[in-house]
Amino acid sequence: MRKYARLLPLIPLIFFGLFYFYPLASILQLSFAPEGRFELDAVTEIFRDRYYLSTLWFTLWQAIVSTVLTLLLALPAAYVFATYDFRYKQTLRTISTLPFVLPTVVVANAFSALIGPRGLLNGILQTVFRLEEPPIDLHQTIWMILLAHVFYNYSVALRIVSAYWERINQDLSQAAETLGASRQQRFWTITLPLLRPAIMAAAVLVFIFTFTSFGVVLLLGGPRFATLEVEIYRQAVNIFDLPVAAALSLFQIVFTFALMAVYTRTQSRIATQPSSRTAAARPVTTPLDRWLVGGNLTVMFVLLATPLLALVLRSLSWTGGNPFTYYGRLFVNERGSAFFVPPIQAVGNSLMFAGMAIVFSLVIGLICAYLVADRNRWLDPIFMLPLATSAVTLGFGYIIALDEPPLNLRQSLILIPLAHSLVAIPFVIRTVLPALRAIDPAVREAAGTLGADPQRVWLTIDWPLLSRVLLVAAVFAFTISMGEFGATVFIARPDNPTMPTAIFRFLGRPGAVNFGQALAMSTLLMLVCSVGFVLIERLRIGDNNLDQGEF
Amino acid sequence: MKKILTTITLGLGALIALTACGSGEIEPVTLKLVSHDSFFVSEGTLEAFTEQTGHTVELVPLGDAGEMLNQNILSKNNPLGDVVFGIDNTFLSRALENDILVAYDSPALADIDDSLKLDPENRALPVDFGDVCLNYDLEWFAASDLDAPSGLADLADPDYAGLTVVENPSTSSPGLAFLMATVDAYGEEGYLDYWAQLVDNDVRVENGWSEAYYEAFTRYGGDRPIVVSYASSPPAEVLFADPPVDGAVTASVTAPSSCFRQIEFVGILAGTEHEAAAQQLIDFMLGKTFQEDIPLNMFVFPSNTTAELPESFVAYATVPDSPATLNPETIAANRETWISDWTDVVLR
Amino acid sequence: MSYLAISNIQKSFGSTIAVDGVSLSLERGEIVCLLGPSGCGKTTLLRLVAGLESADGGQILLDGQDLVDVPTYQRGIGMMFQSYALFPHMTVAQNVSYGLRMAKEPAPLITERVAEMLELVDMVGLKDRKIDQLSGGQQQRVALARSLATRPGVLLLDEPLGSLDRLLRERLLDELRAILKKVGVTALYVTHDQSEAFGIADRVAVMNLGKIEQINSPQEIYIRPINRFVANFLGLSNVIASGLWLEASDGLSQLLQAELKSGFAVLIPPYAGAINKQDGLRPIDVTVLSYSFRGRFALLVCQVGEHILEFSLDPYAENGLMGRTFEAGQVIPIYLNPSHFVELQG
Repeated sequence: MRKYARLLPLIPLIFFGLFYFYPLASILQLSFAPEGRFELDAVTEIFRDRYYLSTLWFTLWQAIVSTVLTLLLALPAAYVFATYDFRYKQTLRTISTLPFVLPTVVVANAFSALIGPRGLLNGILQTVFRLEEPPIDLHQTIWMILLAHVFYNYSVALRIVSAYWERINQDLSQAAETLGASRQQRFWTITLPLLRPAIMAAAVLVFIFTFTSFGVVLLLGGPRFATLEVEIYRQAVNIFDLPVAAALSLFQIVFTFALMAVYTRTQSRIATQPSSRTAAARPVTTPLDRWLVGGNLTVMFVLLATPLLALVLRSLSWTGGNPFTYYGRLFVNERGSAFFVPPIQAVGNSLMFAGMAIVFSLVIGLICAYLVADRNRWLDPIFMLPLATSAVTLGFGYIIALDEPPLNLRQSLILIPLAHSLVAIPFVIRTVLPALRAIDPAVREAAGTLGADPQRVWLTIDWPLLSRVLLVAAVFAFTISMGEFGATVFIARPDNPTMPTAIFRFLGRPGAVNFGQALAMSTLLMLVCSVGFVLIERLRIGDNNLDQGEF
Repeated sequence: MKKILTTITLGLGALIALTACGSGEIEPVTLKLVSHDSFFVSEGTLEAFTEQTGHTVELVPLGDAGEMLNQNILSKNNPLGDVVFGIDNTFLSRALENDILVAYDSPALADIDDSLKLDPENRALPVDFGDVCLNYDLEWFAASDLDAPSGLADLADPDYAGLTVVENPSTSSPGLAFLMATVDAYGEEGYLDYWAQLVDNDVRVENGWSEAYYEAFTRYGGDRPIVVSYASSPPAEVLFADPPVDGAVTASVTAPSSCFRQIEFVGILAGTEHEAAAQQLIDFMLGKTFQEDIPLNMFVFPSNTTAELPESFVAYATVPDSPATLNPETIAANRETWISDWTDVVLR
Repeated sequence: MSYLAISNIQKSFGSTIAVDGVSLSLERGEIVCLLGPSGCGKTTLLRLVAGLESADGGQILLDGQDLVDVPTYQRGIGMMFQSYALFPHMTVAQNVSYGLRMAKEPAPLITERVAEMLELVDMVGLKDRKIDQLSGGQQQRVALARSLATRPGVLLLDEPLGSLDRLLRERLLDELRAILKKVGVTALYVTHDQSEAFGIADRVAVMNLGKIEQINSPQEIYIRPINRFVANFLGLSNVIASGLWLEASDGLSQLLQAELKSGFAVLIPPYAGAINKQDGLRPIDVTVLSYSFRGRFALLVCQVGEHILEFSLDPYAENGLMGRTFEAGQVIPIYLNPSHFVELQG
């Protein structure tokens, strides 16, 4: 058995090799050396052309500003979640992940329903202040991009920082108090420096998300804004200039790799420092407590919940008949289309792919986490690379690389959960690593001296100690798979749509019923995900204190 | 006379196909039909093909039209399927230049509208067409003093300031089509001036059709009653209305030189191992059964002139008299220049 | 034949030699303590016996069976860790029964043995507690009960009292020895604390730089330390290097020259001095540096010639010492018992 255990590291290495590096290398080779000789003109070109330079610059600064804004808004909430005990705290924290699953095009609709020129908010303001023109017009402004980035990434920052904050040793702050430090001084001199690794980790992760932002910039930013990712797509698909697309992809990968290297360093510091025990959260008692908790929950409600609610409202029919018309129509194949798929089946497809993605990403991510924890820290940034790689570049890579038996997987449905896993694995690693590093090696040794062979040590010690973070990792894998669209649309059969591809199919056609059904399907997607979250949360095994996962 | 000939040819074709099948000359195979993700057919349509020929059809969707074409080019040494559906005239040259299609002089071409045949070698065979036109909100214009627009020129009229939304030609295919309509209408010298006027008139640009239609258009809570969409959108609005409506709610501007005709093609992918069966599928897709199934599934018009249009299309869809049709070589030669010049004028 | 026989065991980490050819034998039921400063290789030696490290060379025989190729989980050796390494996700009873469950013992036996073990360590009422609800002392008891539950032939203890405060440590020490003796387990105990080692062990092995310097009963080792390292490690600081007394002419050096035949370094134990004249004692004059009453004894630090000496005087046995003080700088006679002097090797 021991022999087989030694072969386990091969699984992630083969996985990353086959489904990441091989396709990526293939597309880069085809782009740079179509005739067999490398022509790197495109790489130098992107650094000469003013347009690309300004795209680089925009990509960079919008990511920085988005990151700063996200952190500024999420940090106070992280404090509240780390410090106070209030009803539905866990549920609220989990539900805050919902924006993650929604396709950008749906979120764009939600924002327009809420703050568009004829949206709810402008309507109210116009009525109250008797204004001729809608006072709020964020349409196609940088503010819209920033707002959407905060909307998507708020929960990432909240979850990382609050989980860490809970584990900061309270004694230190109290020691400072005995030394005469005021509340403010304690925050600046003790808490903030201790939090820095968590803040850095959150910042770099949010930065990478926004640096590689595609849908938000394309759909909400409008034609005047383009990030690298948008430009890569335009070059690869619309213009079909593969060398430029590949050069931009390569730049994006190299840049993010450097950043990841910094990130994983802060990350390993994070994992070794905090105490394994959660400080007891205190109840909300004083007016200041109430103000803090209430204020932050209000921010969360306004920022995260109102757009989602606007979406739900829009999915209902307001024309007088049955408000659930669009939901009902989802179940009827009116046109006799061969591609009609009842929503239950779309839900089923999504859940099936999500289930497979959870299994793949947990198994592979777990092995990766063990590799990284076992003195292979340099592997960590490599495992994170898929997060930073343009989907269309990699998708084209699949087309040319995976075309020969036994790897003729180009049209195989198995590629869907595999592609989802590629994105989910970095999340699994980030979630599992801290808990893995927190397991005292002596605990495993103790089990060995008590007669447990390596397999049983893993089953009776590691597994139960990691089960909690594996559930959190499962939530992320589930979320990523349920919301993923880009890879799925390349592969999914028309008679096998997932919920996001069904949404896009409705949105591709004119007509009120199509639009309504798209929003109804989006609402269903949120509902299915919420139920999924709650079920996964329910699975929590025991209540041990080693659940400091979260990235 | 021509009609008789056609009938004979078709009949012969069918006979050949039938005998071929009957005598077992073509083994029943599974054909892979590569398409973009907006490909839809009714239940029973492809089964009819299987009944006729014994071949089954497996669908291989590959993303949007641009993604699909590029993937076919990337995989041309080892094609992803046997037949491709949905290469349009704006990208036709890219497909032809990269030699991904093999020619097939289908007997069914006899019934196809000649104006749609852009490839003299018949590597790409026209299967349907749709006209990208201005659509407007009838209700909005009924409530307004303003007359509905009657042509491109109206959009530059200050009375129409702030009423129009178009799509970005560099990211949207109707956007590109509409840009070409303006190139055709105003010439290469004049189209940029026209767009400059639209900019002065506060034209709104969205990156995709969905955002333009479902966010900016007044029918869906936006503030723009004029949107670039398809001549077939009005019948869709009726078919998918909620609650049901008695008459049209939107209309399209179909005046001469105000629309651009997007033509979609089918073709046999070079390297297929089932060329004979693929030819049968092409014949089928150009034939009446499939052609008549096209409108209500994909909201475009059949290329086969003998195909009958569904009622809603007859009632609410107008086919423009003389839409712009630039030849594919001109498009290929100028597409990037037009887009980048347009970008300079409209977005910068 | 010894029950546990370690011979010429060798272990290096990179270029660092952790255990350098150690041989050691334990009789059945014997408690041997490995005593030494941190980094001396005592924990590595323990881990080699447990199989948590693999030896570079040498042999470990348990009851005649060679353990070198036997994996940890099949060695049947119990171990208590410094951090206790209790399973945080299990209750007290689940921790204690773990080894029995791994051995697939029948359920009634497990229940019975767990009860017996908890009784042994006086934790009966706490069997359903979670580990993080226990105090340090309670955790130590659970760890002991867990490691004894499978009735291992050998129990390895790695600083098991190291993380407890001193008072608790002393109380638990006796209890621990009593329990170990009661179950009759052969135990190898690692500590850096001399009083802990003396309190628990039948024999003490003092380790330094990967080697055992001396092994013997606590008493023997204390009154006859073999060399300067052992003496110093046991807190015996009055060591005078040979070069310093062979040629010198102060009272002490003259005394040593007269009393000792060899020219080795010499240890003058702190109990070798008295303030009152007795038969057989040899007086020398010393200059007082400090004097303080310490409860069970009184500590005199003084100087003679170049040497600083410490003496623990017995104010309860010596007449006139109780209540007396000495001032720094005062010159007094001290009576030394040469039979307590220890000649050291190296």
